[in-house]
Amino acid sequence: MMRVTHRNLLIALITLLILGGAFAFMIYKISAQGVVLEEYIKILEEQNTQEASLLRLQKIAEDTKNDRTQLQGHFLKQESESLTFLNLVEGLAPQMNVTLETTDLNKIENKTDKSEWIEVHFDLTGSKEDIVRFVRTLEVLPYVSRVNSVLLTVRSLELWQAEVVMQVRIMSYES
Amino acid sequence: MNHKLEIAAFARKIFKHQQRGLREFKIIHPAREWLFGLSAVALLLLCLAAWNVFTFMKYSNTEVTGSVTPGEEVVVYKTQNVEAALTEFVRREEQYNQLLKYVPTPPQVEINETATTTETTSEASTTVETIAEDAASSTEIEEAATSSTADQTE
Repeated sequence: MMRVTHRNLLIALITLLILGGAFAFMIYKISAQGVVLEEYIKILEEQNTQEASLLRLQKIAEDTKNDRTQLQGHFLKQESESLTFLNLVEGLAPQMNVTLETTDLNKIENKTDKSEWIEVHFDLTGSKEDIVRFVRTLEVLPYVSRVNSVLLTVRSLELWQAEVVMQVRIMSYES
Repeated sequence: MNHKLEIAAFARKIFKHQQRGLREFKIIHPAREWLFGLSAVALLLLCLAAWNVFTFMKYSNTEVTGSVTPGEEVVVYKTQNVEAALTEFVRREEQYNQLLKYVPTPPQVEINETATTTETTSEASTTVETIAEDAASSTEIEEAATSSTADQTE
């Protein structure tokens, strides 16, 4: 081969290597940037999802504020509010001609749903009609409450006694 | 001598031929080699262009949605339950107010004798109904007590 040909061939090879390397580098960079872009898009989608969820939650919170406040009012917010409940019940008793005595009060937890309740034991004394009416009133108190048991005992034809066990729900949030 | 000269001339001719052999035998075809080289480069460029177009189309059509699909949506607020609870509380409030308005009537019959004691127990869910039943049974007890009192009086 002639010297010029040799030189040209060498130049061509070097140029080809440089260009090939440059192309390979560009292809690699484009692929890498594509992967990065896909990750950014994924992150952006997650952020958009979270943002949409947050906005939806905010809207629900605003729309349902009144209902939730109203519903919240029927719960004991904490254990100490049981005094308010007791005051209400003890205030009702004289109005209904019933003598009321609170014999026990404790906090219990439902093992099934982990809900917390205040359990109150009352001793009621009065006429049968008054006691029945009072127990009915206890059943419809403006609280999330339930009358668990009523043990009705007749002391005389005039005087009846009832042992009432009822529970009032303490508000707790699910985690 | 002539023979020697002929051999030398022949050898010279051979070497001379070898020196110019490439020119004369045309082993290299520049046009063909250029054609092959340029074709390879053009093919490579076409492949790269196609790949670039594919990559561009792939990422140019990408849409960032980020919306929550119905399957993934978590129910965080049970409207129906809340409405049902509020309705129930309204109903309870009405009953509560009615019971508060009730004025108890004073007892009309006075009986001095102590009656028989009875015990009844009711469960939470059916308290009102059970109490009503208990009241009915206790009425029978009252009647029995009244009749026994009457017998003793006689």
